[in-house]
Amino acid sequence: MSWSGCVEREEMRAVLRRGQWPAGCPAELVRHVESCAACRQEMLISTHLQAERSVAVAGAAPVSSSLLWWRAQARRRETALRQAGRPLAAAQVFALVMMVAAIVGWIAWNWPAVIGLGRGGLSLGQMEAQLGVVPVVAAVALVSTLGGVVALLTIERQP
Amino acid sequence: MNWEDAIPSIAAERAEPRAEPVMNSDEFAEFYQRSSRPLWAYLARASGDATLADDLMQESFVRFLCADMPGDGEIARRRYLFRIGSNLLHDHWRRPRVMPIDELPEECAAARDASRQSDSRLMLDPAMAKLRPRDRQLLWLAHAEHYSHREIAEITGLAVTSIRLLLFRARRQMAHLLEQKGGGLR
Repeated sequence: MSWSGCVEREEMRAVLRRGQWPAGCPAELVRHVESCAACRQEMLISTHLQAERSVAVAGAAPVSSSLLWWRAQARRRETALRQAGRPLAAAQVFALVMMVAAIVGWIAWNWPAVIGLGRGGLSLGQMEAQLGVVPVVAAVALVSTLGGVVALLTIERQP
Repeated sequence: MNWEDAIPSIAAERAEPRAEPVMNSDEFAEFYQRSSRPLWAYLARASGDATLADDLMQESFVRFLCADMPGDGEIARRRYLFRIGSNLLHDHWRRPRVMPIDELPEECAAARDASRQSDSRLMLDPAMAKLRPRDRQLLWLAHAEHYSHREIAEITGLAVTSIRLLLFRARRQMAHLLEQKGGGLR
């Protein structure tokens, strides 16, 4: 028996689809099915599965279509809201990255003073003389921004 | 390589739901009326679990309504629905089981299924149970739903050439099991 099937297979399938087996089927096709192992096998399985399909379809008890329609609408709304929130989240991430980059840039620019502060060799008075009020302003800005971002993220995650 | 790995990612069904539905509620109600029972029958017989088939069928329709549908017309829509159902079934098989299906009480599957005692099922059930899930799926699509190899390939994500060979093997095994049970040609 070849796995590619028999030349009569399509005709046999058409008969099966029309529900004409065996009563409405041409006699020569019936004889062929009896003598061809591939067709007999296919006919055997098809008749069983189609009988099974009829019974299963009759036994199915689908829920109301309006319930599924409502669920799909709710899911679409939820997705639309999620998509609308994406630019805001992206802006938050961008702001955070820019802030970190600014701090790193500032530290790199004023590296000698920062090193001196770390070693205790630079007093606050000297530091203020060298850097002015920039570090204080930067620290306040950083704390305010990060505080705002944390507050926003906390509120967003609450159900 | 496992056969499940051959199925491409379920991109279409996992895509974000679209803003507008693919059909209005009346059209959907009619489509649902015509398609829900065949889809349930397929999912129930391929999975062997009527309760699971209920869940997967509902999820299939919800995803169908949210998805961008390729093509138009009843046949394409139904095929796409079967594809979503097949992918959900496939996902279910891949998930680790909390409780093996064998341990579920029999009435879980039988309660909704008035066909339990039919002659065909008495022969078919043991034979189907011995087949691999993929083989049950392919046989059902080919012989109960009359899908062509190309359509089955579209639904399952397998190659058309693979379908032919896999179906041949599944058919041979199924026929052997049915003949053992005395289920000859009627």
